Amino acid sequence: MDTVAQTFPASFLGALEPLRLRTRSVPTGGRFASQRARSKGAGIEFADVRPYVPGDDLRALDGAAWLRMDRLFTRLFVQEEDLPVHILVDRSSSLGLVALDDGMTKRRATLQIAAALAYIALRHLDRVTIHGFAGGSIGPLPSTSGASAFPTLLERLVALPDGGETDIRQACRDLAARPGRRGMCVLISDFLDPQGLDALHEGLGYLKHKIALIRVTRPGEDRPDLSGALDLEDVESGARLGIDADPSFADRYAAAYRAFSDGLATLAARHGALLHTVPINAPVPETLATLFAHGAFPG
Amino acid sequence: MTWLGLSPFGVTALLGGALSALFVLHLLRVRPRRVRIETLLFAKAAAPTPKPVALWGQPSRWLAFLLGAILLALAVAAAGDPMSTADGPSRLVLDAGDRVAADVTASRGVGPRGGQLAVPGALAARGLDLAAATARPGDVSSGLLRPTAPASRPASEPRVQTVVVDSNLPSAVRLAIAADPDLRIATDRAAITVSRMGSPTSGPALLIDEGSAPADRRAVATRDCPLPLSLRDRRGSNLTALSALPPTAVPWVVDSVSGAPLVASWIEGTTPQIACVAWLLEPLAHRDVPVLIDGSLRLLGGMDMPTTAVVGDPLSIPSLPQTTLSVAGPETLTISASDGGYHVAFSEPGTYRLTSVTGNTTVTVAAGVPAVRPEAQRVPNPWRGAAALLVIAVLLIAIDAWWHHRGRLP
Repeated sequence: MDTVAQTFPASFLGALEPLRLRTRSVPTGGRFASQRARSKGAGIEFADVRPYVPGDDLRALDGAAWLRMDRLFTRLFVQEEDLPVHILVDRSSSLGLVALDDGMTKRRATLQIAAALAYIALRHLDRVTIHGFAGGSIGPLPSTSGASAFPTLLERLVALPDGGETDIRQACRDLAARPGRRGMCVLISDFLDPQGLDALHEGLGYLKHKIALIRVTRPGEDRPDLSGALDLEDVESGARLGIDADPSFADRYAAAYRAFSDGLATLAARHGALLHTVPINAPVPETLATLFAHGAFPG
Repeated sequence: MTWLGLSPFGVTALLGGALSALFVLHLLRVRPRRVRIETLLFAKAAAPTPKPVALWGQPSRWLAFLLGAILLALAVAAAGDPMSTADGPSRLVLDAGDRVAADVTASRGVGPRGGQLAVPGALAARGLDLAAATARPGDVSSGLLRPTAPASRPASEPRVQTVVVDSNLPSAVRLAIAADPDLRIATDRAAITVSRMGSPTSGPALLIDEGSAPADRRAVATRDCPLPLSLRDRRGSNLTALSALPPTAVPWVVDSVSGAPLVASWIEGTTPQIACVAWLLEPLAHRDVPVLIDGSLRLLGGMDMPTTAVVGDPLSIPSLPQTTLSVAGPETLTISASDGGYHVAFSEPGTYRLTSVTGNTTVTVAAGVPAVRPEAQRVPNPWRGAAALLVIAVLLIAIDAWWHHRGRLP
């Protein structure tokens, strides 16, 4: 299991400073934070004025409008609250099977992405809850907010147990069963669920949150170097498949991979979810910088 | 115990060969390289139907299948009786009456090798009728000598027996009968035979002692036996013994290890019968058995028991000192007694008359190992090329396996 230092180098966190999560609106009822809420209330940014009604805060009376129109108006400000951010981290066995030369694995990449998103959310006073899943839900880790909670969250994140079979359907069902405000759900996985995209489709249907799918990929996984008589073993389920990989096998494999990728994109669009692919051979902060192209995660 | 005409050794060798072949195929099977991958989703979509990875599971490869079948057939043929299709059967049937013919038919193709000598009651008047032509190699299950004689026939009837000898009889039997002056080989099948019944005694007459080594195996007479056998058997004792004998059967020869009877006699009605295990009739290993048959015929015909010997083996005869022995027969010898007896070694088969001051003795000398018949020499052994074909088949299968699995073998 990777350590905190291995998973999150010092340069990694510094690259996350300018990024932030943002949604169009946040359901009311949360704590005061930096996310724009649907309701108008006590904020800093001016939003509108409305006629005064008894009971309004006198400090919000618009004096200029009273002098000009001889009527009382109350200034309205954008109310900023926290955003519930649920990060689902895939901990299945497939993520740790292949390591690049620098030791980077899909598993480490998912942790870095989860940590990056959590770090950004915590810095903006959003409430972060991390859920692991592999064969079932793991956790969730206690909800945290505030940047000071980040070191503890990192330790808990790295300590999440791993291994097992990907079961996105069950993970989404468990998350949907939890009470709480609607917020954002970021699903970080390679989406190699043995049940295929149908399981993902069903799982996403349970969620009422804004959904972002972050897919981690490994170089060469679309065209593995397989030839000859092989006994393929699924690292997650242990299922076996005997094949005779002739020269055309790689092409068919790549075609199947592309079809899966296309299906995943179609599925994300159907659920109104953001789909972003993170290759693990590129530094995660840089990849996330492209994800935050406009300075905010487009939730 | 036999199976499809194969001896236990043949069955064992066949099974061992088959298991060895399977083991070799198991070693040569394609061992797919195990690769752990993240998911089988794409491989399942991309993989064609996997080909069988071994010849065993690939009957569509007709060449391999055909060669395997040929190999199996050749193995069975090579382990079978190579003499089974030689000129003339290796079986011996003396008279094939109704019952014998039925037995032959019933056991066709599944019985062990052996011979059967029989004189059924229905053909008693015709004497011994050798009807090997009705038998087929591998038909007969056990040796049975069953001479008969009418109960009313007085014991003083002519003492010369006439025996019809089929041309397929082992040469040793023919020689033994021909060398006996009291037996005559008839030219037709209407000869009269035994004139007096024998009366078997009780108890084993001969024990085959295993000894401490195979070479020590010898026959030990426990009492006066009907025939002075000296079974120089070099085979193990795990061969078949007589089975299903009537309760009144008297064993003549038993296996000293198992006690199972190898030669036995009994009286069925008024007919004396002698049964002999089939493997004792195989001339190369049991060259005294023809003499047994000859002596049995004499015994059952009420004749004197001759002294028997085999060509080349010394015969010791007790004698008084300073006496001479005159031997008259195919070769004439005069032998002086030494060390308390005469020591004679005959070089020619036949019947010899030994004359000394103490009396006269007839010695029947059997040829021992039968000579190969000229006609058998002319017939090529059809299985002679089986070994070469077997080697070729194995090579072809090996080449085919290599061609199919090239690049995949470990």
